[in-house]
Amino acid sequence: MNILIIEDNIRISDNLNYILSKENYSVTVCDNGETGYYTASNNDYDLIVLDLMLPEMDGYEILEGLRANKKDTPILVLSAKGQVEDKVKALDLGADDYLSKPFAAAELLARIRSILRRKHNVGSTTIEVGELIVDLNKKEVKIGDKTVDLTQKEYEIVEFLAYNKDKVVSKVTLGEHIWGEDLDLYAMSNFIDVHIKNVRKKLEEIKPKKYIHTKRGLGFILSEGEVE
Amino acid sequence: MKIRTKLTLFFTLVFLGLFVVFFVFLFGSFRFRMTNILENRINKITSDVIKKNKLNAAPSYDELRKISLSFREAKKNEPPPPRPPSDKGGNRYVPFFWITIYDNDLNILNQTDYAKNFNIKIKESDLKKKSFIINFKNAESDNLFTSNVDNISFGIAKSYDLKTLDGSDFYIVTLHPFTEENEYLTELERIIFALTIVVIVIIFIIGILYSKYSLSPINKIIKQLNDITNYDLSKRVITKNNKDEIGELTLSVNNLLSRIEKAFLMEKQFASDVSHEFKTPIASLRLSIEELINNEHLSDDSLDRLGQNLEVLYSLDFLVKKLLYMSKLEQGIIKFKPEKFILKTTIDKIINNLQLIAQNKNLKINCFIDVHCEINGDKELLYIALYNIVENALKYTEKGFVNITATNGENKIIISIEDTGRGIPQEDIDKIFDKFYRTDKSRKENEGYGMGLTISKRIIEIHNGKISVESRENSGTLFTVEIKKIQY
Repeated sequence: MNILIIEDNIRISDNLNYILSKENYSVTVCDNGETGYYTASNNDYDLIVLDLMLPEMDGYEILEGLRANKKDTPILVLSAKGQVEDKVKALDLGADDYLSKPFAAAELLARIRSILRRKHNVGSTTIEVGELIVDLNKKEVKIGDKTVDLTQKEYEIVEFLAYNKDKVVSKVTLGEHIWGEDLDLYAMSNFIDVHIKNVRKKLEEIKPKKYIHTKRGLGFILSEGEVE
Repeated sequence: MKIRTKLTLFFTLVFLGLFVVFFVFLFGSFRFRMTNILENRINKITSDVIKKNKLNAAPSYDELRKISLSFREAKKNEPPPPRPPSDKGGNRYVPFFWITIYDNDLNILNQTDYAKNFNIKIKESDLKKKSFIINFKNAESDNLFTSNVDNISFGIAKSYDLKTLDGSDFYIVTLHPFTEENEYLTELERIIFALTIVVIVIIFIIGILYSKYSLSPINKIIKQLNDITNYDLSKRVITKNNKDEIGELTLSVNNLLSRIEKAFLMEKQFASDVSHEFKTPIASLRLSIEELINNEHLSDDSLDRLGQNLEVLYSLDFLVKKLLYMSKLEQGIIKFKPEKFILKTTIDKIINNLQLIAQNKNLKINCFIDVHCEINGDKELLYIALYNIVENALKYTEKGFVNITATNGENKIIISIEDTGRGIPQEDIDKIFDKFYRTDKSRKENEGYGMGLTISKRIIEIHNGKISVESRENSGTLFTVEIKKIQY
């Protein structure tokens, strides 16, 4: 999988490069709009991660230019603006998804996977964590062949943890994924605790095995094995 | 008292004063002229009588009693002296000849026929006056004479102090009719009184109109300034005439507004800029720390510390978001989109979203919402405003309940949110809507950043509403939100 990152902030692009490389994507980084636009036009990438505020040529222009030239590479837009209007504008111009800064690595990876799956039918439609299977198409969770009866929010939590399996996902990252950015830290923290408790109960009703582990002070991990 | 009223009253009083002085002078001089003429006539008659009857050389009271008073020396071809008025003889001209002579003790020594018919009571004090007015109105009408002088009702009299040859004082009092003159004066008095009232009323009305007219630019400025609130400082005061004092005032006010606006804009812009500038570094920190905590080679101690750093970072992240939201709200970037909606739906949504927290803490949320409460306002914004208040109540309440009440008033809807929480210290109650205010000075984690209520207040202000708070420490807090029913 080839991913092009067009981002002028070196710290962010370095981090993205590192995170995505670890997930076995091959990454190219452009640090200004113009080179980004030409690189994107002249090569075939599976996905472009595009920042909106760029020197020389801004994200909107790149989006417009690429879509005008019938380049239909999926584009994930990153922006510090975070206003609804910017979001709508970017999506109208042909972006596939929009993530406002600051965002969590886990959220970015989940979005990238979801876009790639939709656009290229790559990656399986299920994620397996031992016997626990998350069916991304049917939006359901099974343990063995038994379906776990989850509410929509609970499913989203399990799905998000599954996208990031064996990795620590913080409460805030999880909360932002499920409720967006409007929720207060306090409410988010409370909600997540309650939901996680309920999910665990439902999973353990089917099989008395711990799938969701708490990492004190850090967050949760969905993992088959034991976590210290 | 308003300047307008003050000016009008001042005008009216000054005019009233001037009028009173003017008319008193006018009336006084008229009266003086009239009495003066009559006094001169009386003087003449009296001196004639004294001369004719040799009164200045009367030897004693007895002699005085004997004198038959006559007006002047009858000429030979003249008709006999006038007959008394009781003789209802005819229409002959009879001069009004009224003279009475009093002794020292005010006993009558002698008098003319007229005087007999026109009895007057004389006080000692009258004798010392230059002249005095007699009112016959109280006298019995039967006694009133009939003569060519009809219906005398007033007379003017004058007394003369003389001495008999044996040294006793006696007084000659001469009276002259004053009826017509007095009627003129009374009429004049009435006219003056009516005129004064009419003029004062006119001046009062003119005063009101004029002060209204001359103060209207100021009233316009006041109205315009009221429209220019803290949050719409872009408007300016406009006046027609820029060259007078009002023009200067307008200019000063506008200059002031410009400076305030600039300062406000700078503050808002600063908050917005800073928040934006924070976003990228926070993004890069989040990415690296969140990645780092998955590193298998880190010790537990390092992980703990990273976790703490992450908490701080999340707080910072949220704070920046709230600041940005607040600054957008203040700059009007978040559009106010009013629509009619049922309050209960919004509150139900809030309760639904916060129910988990309440359950977690074993708190009960009681709801008493009038289903007819319909609000004309921005649904999204009011959701946020009320959500913040309810969340706040839940956050600071450990046991008991949170009551949400909404009543449908005539002009406004009153929403109150009451909790049984720890309350707000009295000295802090004014500050709770300020940015960054938190009751807990130690700033524990997850307690928020003191932005929620600031945002709520701002949203309610956008709706022309009011938010107030009452609280008692360790027993609870009551937030009251009033939103007027306005058509946008």
